[in-house]
Amino acid sequence: MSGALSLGATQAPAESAETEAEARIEREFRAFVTERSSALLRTAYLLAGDWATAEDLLQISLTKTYLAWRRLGEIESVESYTRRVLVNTATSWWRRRWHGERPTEVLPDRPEPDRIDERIERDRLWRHVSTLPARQRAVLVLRFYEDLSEAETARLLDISTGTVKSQCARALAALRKRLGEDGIEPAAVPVPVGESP
Amino acid sequence: MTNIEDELRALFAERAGTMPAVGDPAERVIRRAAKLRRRRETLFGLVGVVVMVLGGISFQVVRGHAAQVVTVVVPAASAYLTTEPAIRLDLRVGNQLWTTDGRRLPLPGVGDVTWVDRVPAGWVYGGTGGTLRLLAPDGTEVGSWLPADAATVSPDGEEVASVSEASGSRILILGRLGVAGVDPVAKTTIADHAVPVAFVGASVVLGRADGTGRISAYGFWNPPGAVSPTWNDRIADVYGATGSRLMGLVSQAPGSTDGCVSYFDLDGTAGLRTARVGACGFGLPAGEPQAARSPSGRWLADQTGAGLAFIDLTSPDPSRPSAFCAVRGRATPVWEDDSAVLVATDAGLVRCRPDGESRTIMVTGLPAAGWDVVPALGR
Repeated sequence: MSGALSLGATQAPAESAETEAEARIEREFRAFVTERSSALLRTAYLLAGDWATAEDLLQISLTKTYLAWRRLGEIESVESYTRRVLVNTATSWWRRRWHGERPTEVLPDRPEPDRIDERIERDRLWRHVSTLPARQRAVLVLRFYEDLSEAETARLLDISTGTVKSQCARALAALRKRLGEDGIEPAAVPVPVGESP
Repeated sequence: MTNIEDELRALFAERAGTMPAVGDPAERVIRRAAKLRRRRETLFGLVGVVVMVLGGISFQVVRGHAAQVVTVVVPAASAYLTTEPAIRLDLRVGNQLWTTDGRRLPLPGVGDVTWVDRVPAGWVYGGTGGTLRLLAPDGTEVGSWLPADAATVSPDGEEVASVSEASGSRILILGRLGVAGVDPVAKTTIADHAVPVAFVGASVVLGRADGTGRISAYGFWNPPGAVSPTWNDRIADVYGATGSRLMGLVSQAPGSTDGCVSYFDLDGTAGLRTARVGACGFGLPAGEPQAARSPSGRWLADQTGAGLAFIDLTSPDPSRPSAFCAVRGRATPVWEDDSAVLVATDAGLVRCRPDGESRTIMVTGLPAAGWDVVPALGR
């Protein structure tokens, strides 16, 4: 009888500590998602090409992050971790699921109809970006949307800085070539509303 | 000069700025993680059982565990549980599409979705955000889009006409619907407060709204030319095209509340000219039109105060409904084919046949409101 009591007395604090740790992680995870999920979803969209796939991509990346967080008890930089999972999941999805050209959605909020011709030209650039190999596309998104340096991009993708440079150069050359085939010089692609040329 | 790097920065910023409203995913992620953990534990349990089987433990124990796993893994039953034949049209439920093959597809990017049409290239849809978009048959977002305060899709599902307001002008746009998206092929400005309501061949029938927003006159546009319609204010409703003619309802006399089913020719000078008047004695719609013509043109399903009236337009006396369905629809009925219409009612989804027979279709999970039937065009 006293042994049973003694066992119960030693187990309870351990269980309680574990529950508290889990509750803390869940609390911190919720706060992280509330604060950062919009920004991560935007990046996911640029990597995936459409919002529905981007939402799937983000959910899977957040789930992996959450499971790792619970397993490890602590993650040094949650956002960097999630972003790395996001990019790597996107590139592995591409290999597994996305083959060939996939027309994707478009659209700024509500364009003026008299700018439809301009928008169509910008759509072409987007479609060409969508057909780039996943790694090249990820490099472009990290360099020109996330504004990461070559070294930061290399770290996130776990490749060398030289590879980042060569992937970026190849992607830009491919885009220039494809726009040229469409009869569009890059300089002729319109600037967005509100920006000076 | 803008270089391609700057173009990419601008493009990415613009695209990322179109993010649709999404809920906080934390709850879903935590639930999903818990489910994954349980599944892993179940899997480990199953592996343990298999090991035990190999070790010679009784077959009965294995079967018990295996059954438990199957119960967890097998997805839920079909979305449609019905004693009737399955419906052949999709449903729009909030901002989701419930397809006849059991998929639930999101309809993003247009605010609150207000209409969807099934077309050969997928689904075209629009909403309160003032745009229309296309969803591919596999459920992915496709191609470009059009600004649209209002829109109508051609009977073959290949074209769409939309209208939107910009800088004080109303712009009419004709777009082609294809696998690559919505391709704008013609546009023009129109002075009147007009909305596209139907296609007749290559022409677009327009309705002119009065001060209350109700359509009180009809004309047409021959794209890609400029538009300057001659408005016909005797037309009270438009049912769609029969060959090169428009079919609709015309008031029996100026100011009358009774109407006659009529055919109209598209006359470049006179506008929509009454060509042949058929059955008379129909009440004119007080608000939104509530009548729909069957695909062959034989039947008219008209939502009246007494229920859904079926009118055989080929009968000697088509002014008398041949049958009634005792249902009160929330929206215009949608024909599945010439043998039945689907009606969205406050009590659920109802199938009515032209002989007056009606059956309620049980759709699991269907909310009380905020859904409707998706017309299928071009099939």
